Amino acid sequence: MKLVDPSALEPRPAGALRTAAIVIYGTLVLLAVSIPQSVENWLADMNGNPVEAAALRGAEVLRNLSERAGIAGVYRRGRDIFTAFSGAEPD
Amino acid sequence: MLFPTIGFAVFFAVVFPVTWLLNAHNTWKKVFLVAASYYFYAAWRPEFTLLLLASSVFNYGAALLIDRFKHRALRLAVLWIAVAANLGLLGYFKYYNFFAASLMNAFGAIGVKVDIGFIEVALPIAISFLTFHALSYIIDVYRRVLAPTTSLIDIMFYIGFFPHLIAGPIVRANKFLAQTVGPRDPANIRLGQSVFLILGGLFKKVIVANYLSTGFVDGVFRDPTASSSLDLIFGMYGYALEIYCDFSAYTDIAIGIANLLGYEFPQNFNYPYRATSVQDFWRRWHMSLSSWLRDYLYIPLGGSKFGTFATYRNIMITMALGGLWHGASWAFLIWGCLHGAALVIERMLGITGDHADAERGTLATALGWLVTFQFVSLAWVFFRAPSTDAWLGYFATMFSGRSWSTSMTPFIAFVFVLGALSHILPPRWFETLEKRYDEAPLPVKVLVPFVVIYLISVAAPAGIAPFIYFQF
Repeated sequence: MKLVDPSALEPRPAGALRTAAIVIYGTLVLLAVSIPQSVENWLADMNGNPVEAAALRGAEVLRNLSERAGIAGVYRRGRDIFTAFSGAEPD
Repeated sequence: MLFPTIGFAVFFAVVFPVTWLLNAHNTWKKVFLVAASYYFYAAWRPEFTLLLLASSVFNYGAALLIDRFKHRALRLAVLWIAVAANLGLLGYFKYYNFFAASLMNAFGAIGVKVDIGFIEVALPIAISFLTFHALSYIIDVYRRVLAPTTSLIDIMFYIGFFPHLIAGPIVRANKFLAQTVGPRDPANIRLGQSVFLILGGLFKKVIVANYLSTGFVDGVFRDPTASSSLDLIFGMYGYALEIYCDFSAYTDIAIGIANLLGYEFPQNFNYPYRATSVQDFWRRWHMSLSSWLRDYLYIPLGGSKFGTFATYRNIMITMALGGLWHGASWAFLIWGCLHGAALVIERMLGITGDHADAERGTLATALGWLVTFQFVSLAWVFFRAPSTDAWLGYFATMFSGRSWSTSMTPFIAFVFVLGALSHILPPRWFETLEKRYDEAPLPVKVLVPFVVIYLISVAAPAGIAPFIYFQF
């Protein structure tokens, strides 16, 4: 991907930082809700200090909510379809 | 800590707001970013953060000393000591065992038994990139291109800033330190460009490089003599795509992340496999390294100022050392020498510079591309093969025409095509996409990265291999 010369760009609106923050956190929240098992697995691999243990409990709650809403299952079905199509090793 | 992981996403989710909250307090912001970078580095081996610290303190002091002396000989003496110390550190960790083994083998060949022993020490990750940054700083101070900073934090920040710390791009000291003097303007965040660099990098690394590597390339390089000629040809092109997608992914993500934090890094890749000559390739591949080698090695050696023979010699020395920088093995040295020889031959034939490309006709340009791409791909075999026997076996089997069957699955062939599209699709398509993204309403701005990362996650292999250039 070719980088654009910064001097050739028009000045950005003052809300560039706010927009960037919304994009970053919005993306992370949507990913955490739609693939909650990844967050839970990541936290489960840690040492389990009080903060991590609390975060893990939060991730479990998030996964349960996502499962009940049928969101987490979409990801699993997507992986199954991809594995069947590609022949790649399943998790 | 790898970029395409949840751990890094959480790390960045903390670093991003704190960095901007501290923006008005520039010194505290730099202290925070240094602490974050050391934490990032400590994720591999915490003890090596001491090395990072020692290098920063040493080069900070050396630069002040160089600047303090008025007499050129004294300045030069300090510079040489500092360069020797930086290279000595690199040599100890990276090259000692290679040179010890080569020396013992050489004496053994003439019947003299010499045992100088090996050292058992882990190679600190990113030591080469760390050294390049340190050398750039002290040499620029010596050349008076740059005034030395009196702030140790600035040097710790420059050498250790986490986006470029592990695998570049190599950021010049004068370009980076100029960005550390005051608060950064958030209006300079180029969101569309950063988002597409990060998404493109994730796609190239997680999908293309990983599947090409684990699904095909690793297999043919593991035992080339057991593969068919066709598989070895595919393996050669596959590795060319894999290393591009792997390395450019890292630096693309690094550039995007740095920009989100308000800092500018140089471009590192510009469609390298579109090059129509080897010289053109080096203007497009790992651009921050090739310009570093030009400015800090080739030109100090004399460049092209002292006649034809000296120019050829300087090119060969530069490329041989550039090859050896990648790793302590004869294969890397051969790879560098091959590129050096190709550059010399191009100079002999007058195939050099932009004007040469512009003056060529379509057929000559196409031929130039074809020859360059074949040469670069063949040379990558030396780069990837784990031993001399491996690359000898690779070429012997590939050129034997032993069998023309292939074990490549349709999925890997599909990934191959996806990787090739990174070079085939016109650059203006990406630029248009970025522009449309910048103009899109906020919900679309959020949905685009979410959908792309979600789809990458659906198709991602179970584990992500480290980036290839981490070992350098």
